[in-house]
Amino acid sequence: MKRKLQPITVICALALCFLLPAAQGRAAVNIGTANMGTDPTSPDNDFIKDSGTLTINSTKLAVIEKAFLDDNDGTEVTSGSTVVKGTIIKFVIYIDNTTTSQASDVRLVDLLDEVAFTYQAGSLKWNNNTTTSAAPPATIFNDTNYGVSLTDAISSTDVGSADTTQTPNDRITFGAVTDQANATMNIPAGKIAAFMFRARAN
Amino acid sequence: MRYFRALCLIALLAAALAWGPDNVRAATNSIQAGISGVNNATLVNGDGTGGGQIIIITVSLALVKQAYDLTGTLLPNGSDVTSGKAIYFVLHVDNTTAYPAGDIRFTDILNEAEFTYIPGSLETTVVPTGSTNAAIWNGTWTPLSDDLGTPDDIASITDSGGPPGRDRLTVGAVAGQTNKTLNIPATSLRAIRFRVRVN
Repeated sequence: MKRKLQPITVICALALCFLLPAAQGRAAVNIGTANMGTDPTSPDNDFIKDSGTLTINSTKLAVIEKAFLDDNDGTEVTSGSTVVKGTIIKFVIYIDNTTTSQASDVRLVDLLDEVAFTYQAGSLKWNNNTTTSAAPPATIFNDTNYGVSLTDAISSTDVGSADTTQTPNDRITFGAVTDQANATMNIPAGKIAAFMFRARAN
Repeated sequence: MRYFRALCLIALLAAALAWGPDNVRAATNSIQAGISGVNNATLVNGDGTGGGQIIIITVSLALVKQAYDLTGTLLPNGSDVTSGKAIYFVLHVDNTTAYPAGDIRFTDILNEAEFTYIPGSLETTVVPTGSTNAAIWNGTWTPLSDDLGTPDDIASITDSGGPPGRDRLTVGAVAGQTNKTLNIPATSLRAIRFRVRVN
């Protein structure tokens, strides 16, 4: 007996789709089909047995930006905080690659408002192979604070650069960003890639 | 007419709230990111929203200078005193924020025709933010040396030339007369005082 879909069922299904959070993870399924002498048929009743089901789970990683005082203590300046004009801030940007495979060709752009902030020349740093996934912000700060220094120059010799000739925003990029390309930046499996630069809050 | 006035008042209040005082600024910094591109929906917050954005509010601190007699009575600006009278000058900066204020510097040049510094009178105190003049005066004052030293502390007063006598006070790492760096802890007021004779 064939049952007809009731309108209420359709409405509930649509509502569920809207209520579910934005897809930050997705399972993609693929099956290889084959045959001999003619195209594969579906269902699989031809001469060559189809492959097993291959499932790939994709996870959307998140980029996070935080601010810290300009010392080695890792005192976080939470968003919305008030500081004294002239205070130097260490901005830390990080991406936690929680997956078991490398995240390739990651790119970041920070347009720093020149009126509100003054970039401190030569302050770029990063690390992408020290901090283990799910580490707390204090560990991320510490590992990056003592991480590898990057030059401000735009070149493929390292993964970061700061272009202070841009107006009205200085442009800080990491990875192979179009218009300000650095070396390609990858994040190893199970690691956090983090970047740091210093700016004065005006 | 009454409604019109009420509307005008609301508009004025809204404008005042929107603009805020001149010495306060809210600044936003955002990061745009992605895989093989930026802001291409491949990373959460990659469009510079949510955790990819941070807001920093800045506020200007104020330097206040006051004069007191030796008993701690405030001498308002324009007060009359007799020639030869010794008075205190007090300078203070109040850090009202929840974060330290780093590398504060200030300079005070005495007009030697009008004031003569009394050697060995430099002192400093730290009291909670918002302290009254009386609370500042009653703070625990620590002596500071007049000399720069190596430097030995956060302030010094030297002779800049001209008539003999010390006349150039610097506090913090002022170029050319660099003391120890002065940082004011969060929610604290730092005061410096010294005595002069009014000529």
